[in-house]
Amino acid sequence: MQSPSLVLLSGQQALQRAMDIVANNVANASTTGFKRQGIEFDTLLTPTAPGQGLNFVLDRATYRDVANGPIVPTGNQLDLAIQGKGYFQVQTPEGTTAYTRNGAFQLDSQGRISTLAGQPVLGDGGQPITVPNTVSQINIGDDGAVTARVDNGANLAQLGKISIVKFENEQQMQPKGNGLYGTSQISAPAVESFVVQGAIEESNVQPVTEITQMIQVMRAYERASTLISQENQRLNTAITTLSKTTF
Amino acid sequence: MRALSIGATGMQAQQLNVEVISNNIANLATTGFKRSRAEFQDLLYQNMRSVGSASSDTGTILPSGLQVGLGVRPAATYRINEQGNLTVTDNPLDLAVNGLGYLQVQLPDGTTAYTRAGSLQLNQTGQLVTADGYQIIPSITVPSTAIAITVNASGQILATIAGQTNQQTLGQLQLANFIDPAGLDAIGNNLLKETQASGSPITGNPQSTSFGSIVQGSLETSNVDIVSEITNLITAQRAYEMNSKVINTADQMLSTTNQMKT
Repeated sequence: MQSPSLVLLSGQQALQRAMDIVANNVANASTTGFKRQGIEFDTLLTPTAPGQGLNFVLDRATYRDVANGPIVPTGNQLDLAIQGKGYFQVQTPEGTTAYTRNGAFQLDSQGRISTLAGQPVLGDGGQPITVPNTVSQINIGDDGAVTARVDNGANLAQLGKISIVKFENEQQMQPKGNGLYGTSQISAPAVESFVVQGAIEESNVQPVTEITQMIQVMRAYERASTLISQENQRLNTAITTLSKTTF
Repeated sequence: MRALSIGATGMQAQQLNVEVISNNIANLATTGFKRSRAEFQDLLYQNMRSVGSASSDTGTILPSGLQVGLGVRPAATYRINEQGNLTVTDNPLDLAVNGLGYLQVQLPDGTTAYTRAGSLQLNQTGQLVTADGYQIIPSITVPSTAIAITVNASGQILATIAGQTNQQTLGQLQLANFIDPAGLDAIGNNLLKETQASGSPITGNPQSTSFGSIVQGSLETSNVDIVSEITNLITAQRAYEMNSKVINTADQMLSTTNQMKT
């Protein structure tokens, strides 16, 4: 007897989660390198009688929209954006490698190119790139090659190459917060992508999409609530009417 | 409902964004000011269903998980050390640094601070000081008999003394640079202090190695670009509104639940 209410309740729970996802997208509308998340719903079929069943709602999965965000110039020579697929490699304090699209970098006190949280960015060969303190200008090429003019000399010195890697399945990458992702997949060099110096990739959240999504979620939630109330009333009426006819 | 607190983190972040932008705009006319940018990061994710975990005994795995992020947090505000424009002031003691390097300033507590604002003056004993009266390092004294002061591109300070044909060398300005100038700590009054993140100062004469040159009679303006700041301000304000809309919607959903007839 209770099943209509329970089906609607499963819907409401899934919608609450959908609202949380939308809220997180909106909150991260200004987060460098952020990728918006979407949610997949699924039906959970519970057989009640032969040939009949109840479809409960199940929020099956979230997925990341890996589309590129807009690339915006900042004027900082250590701000990098990746045009195309791929991730920068970052060394975490635990010694593991994490991946990020957030290319707002700086130099740490040892002169290594690192993230704003101080984690060194890895170059080809898995080594951080150290910039000597006599450098007046750092150039980073399309392929990530770091060159610099040292001691006002005529020649550019090669300092290393920031490596960009890609993966077979980006959805398998676990977000770890702080713009970092982890994965156990084997990386391949992203040769078709290139690095843009002096710019960052903004979040790919589309305000219109999120607000529309939010309205849809809210209205669906209201509808489910109304239906639960009506179902409750129906049961109430049934009980009152049936009890009157029996006696 | 997490959406309420997620929306709140978003509003806080945008508030900080507006604060950073307004400080940039307020310092539009500050000599040697470098604009800042607020940088944000996503917070931790809650794993409802872990991506890659087994979905059956035959070894199939989940192609994507159910992960709910918990909002945003400010990661850093960092200074963008682009060169500002040079404006000619024709004041012989206005010195602009064209290129890398900071002038060194002796604070009253004996420590050293660094500045790009080269609007210098003389104090009562003829020493070169900043607008706040703090001495420049190395200390340079201009004799009262000097009628003109020349500072050349490599930082040499020369004075023309009344009644003398040859200019007299008063001293040599020195600049300081850092591995990571973005790591310097801003203490206000156009002054910056060394931190562990910036590294130790490397001093040298202007125009030597990586140091910039000195331009006499000019000042470095702030590197704030008013058009881009206003655009950023609009974006930040709209993002703030959107986050408040999220809180509103989450509140409406909760209110719907409360109004359900029992």
